[in-house]
Amino acid sequence: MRRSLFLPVMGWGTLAFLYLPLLVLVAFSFNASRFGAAWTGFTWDWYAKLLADRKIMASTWNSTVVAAVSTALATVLGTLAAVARGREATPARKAKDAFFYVPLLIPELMLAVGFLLFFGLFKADLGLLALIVAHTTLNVPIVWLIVKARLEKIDPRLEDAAVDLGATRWQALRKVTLPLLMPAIAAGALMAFVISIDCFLISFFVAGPSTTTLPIQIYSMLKFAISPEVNALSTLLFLASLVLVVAAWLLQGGEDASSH
Amino acid sequence: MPSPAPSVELKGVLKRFGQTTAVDRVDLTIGDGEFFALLGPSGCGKTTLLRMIAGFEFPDEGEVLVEGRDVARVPPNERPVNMVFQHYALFPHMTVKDNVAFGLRMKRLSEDQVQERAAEGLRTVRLDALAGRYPHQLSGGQQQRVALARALVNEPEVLLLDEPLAALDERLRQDMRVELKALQAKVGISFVFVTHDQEEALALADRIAVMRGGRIEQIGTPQEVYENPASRFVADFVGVSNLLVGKVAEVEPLLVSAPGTARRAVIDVPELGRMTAYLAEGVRPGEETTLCLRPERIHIASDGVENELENRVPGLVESTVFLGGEVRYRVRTAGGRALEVHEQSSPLRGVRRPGERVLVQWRDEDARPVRP
Repeated sequence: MRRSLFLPVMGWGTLAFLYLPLLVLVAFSFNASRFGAAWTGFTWDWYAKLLADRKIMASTWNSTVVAAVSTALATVLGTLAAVARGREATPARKAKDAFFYVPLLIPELMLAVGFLLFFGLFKADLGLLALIVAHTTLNVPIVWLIVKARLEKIDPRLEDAAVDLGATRWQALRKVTLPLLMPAIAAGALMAFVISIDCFLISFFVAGPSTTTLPIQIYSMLKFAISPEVNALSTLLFLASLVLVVAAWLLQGGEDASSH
Repeated sequence: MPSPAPSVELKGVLKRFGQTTAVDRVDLTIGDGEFFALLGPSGCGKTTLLRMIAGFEFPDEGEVLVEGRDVARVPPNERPVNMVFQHYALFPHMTVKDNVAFGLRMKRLSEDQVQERAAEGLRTVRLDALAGRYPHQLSGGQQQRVALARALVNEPEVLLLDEPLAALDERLRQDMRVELKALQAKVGISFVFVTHDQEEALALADRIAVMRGGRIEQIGTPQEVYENPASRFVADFVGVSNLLVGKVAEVEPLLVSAPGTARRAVIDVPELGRMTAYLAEGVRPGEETTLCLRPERIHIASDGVENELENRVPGLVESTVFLGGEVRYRVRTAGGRALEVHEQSSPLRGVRRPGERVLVQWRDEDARPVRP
């Protein structure tokens, strides 16, 4: 009897460990008290203040633009790279694959410093454009990875069948392979969007003094004190990420269930 | 309307993949309206050959002619052939109807024509009621019929089928054989199919090419290939056979001298003893010869009964397998040689038990010489 309790307790305990800090954050975003940890009542005030704050709105806009554009670019580039890669696992291809993984594995700080130097080298104007380029770089491997995984599950005979029925290779790709990849492409795009929205370190290095994204804005607000507005903003960011990640997860899972 | 040119003609076709030669200078002619089987074990080059007719592989040497036109370098989408793929390769994101209409849409027919011909194609395979379903909602047999309709609506000159029945269970396979044969008779074009299943090839094909190591071992009707296998390999691969290897002891003089007549010879087979059979003209005493003796050609009688056939060998029943319509025995001869013997079951004869002493016997003409 005792032993049978061990695993559930560990499981729920781990979940609590993961989510309690987040729950505290969410709770405090509704706390009427501006200072301290005491609960003085429920309020929407901090959310209202957020909407009125022009700095926060500007950084939200920046984040959205950077995320949207870099996601669009990364989705196209990542999908093309995955499709161009082909399917058989030759040694040469495995080596090339490794180059796509590397940006996901190396410390983000290294990428951030790298971008800073790179843009400095070309005397590029730091700002939105630099953010978009950096985020696209970060996102291409994500999209590539998800699309590649799906592509490997698609029977190569499907494209052969299309060609046999009179399609050119290009038509076969467009009419057969791409529609079957769509859920994976959408999931990849959602993941890319989330990663871009949440990205702090690279954005912080690359953004320059005049451009602020949401995470940078939150960080700068924290320099003075943990304010309820920050709690409210973080809660919204958390919710948005959660929705997108769950959507991406459903897209990949849902399509697996129906295809075979 | 028979066309003057054969449906498919291969001349000296050779295909290499790296160091291995998948298809080694194959010559083959498939007639108009013929149901043709490429039979062989995996890796014998049969699928590569089919893919070269389809256009998915280009030969390194030789010509591939479809209806008299050399298509060796023509891509698959420009050839007048269509293929039914192994596991069918139906498009999972399209309905049955859209699957069947795919080729017609690629031809840029008007949407009216597309609808009409797709519907007609589905009627041919009796699937018009399931036009709106998706492939994963169909049974294996239904998927197979969609694949057939999807290929046939394009009115190809030749239909290629890659292991068409391999994905179906045994009972369904029997039904689909009959259906496939009827369909071929109805549409009247040549069907070329690849299979590793000798029974399927025998049941379906007008002619069979038995392949081994990239070459064709033998081409012939199912009866020819079964009754007169050209080589030891064919005898072994198509059906069950007792292969007897022996030395020619003497060749009987020809009673009626006619060129090309087989000669009756006495052959010494180790572990079996002396036997007689008809060998090709020109055979000399002392030569080694390989004979194929089919299990159902061997008669089995109780030891001591009156003998009727030319070759008689006493032995012991070693094992008995009763299969309903047929009984399969393994008989160990006095010399130690094991022989497969298949006999139609009969309530009068009953089933012989292991350990029973028997006399196996066969006619001279039933042991056929084959290439070693």
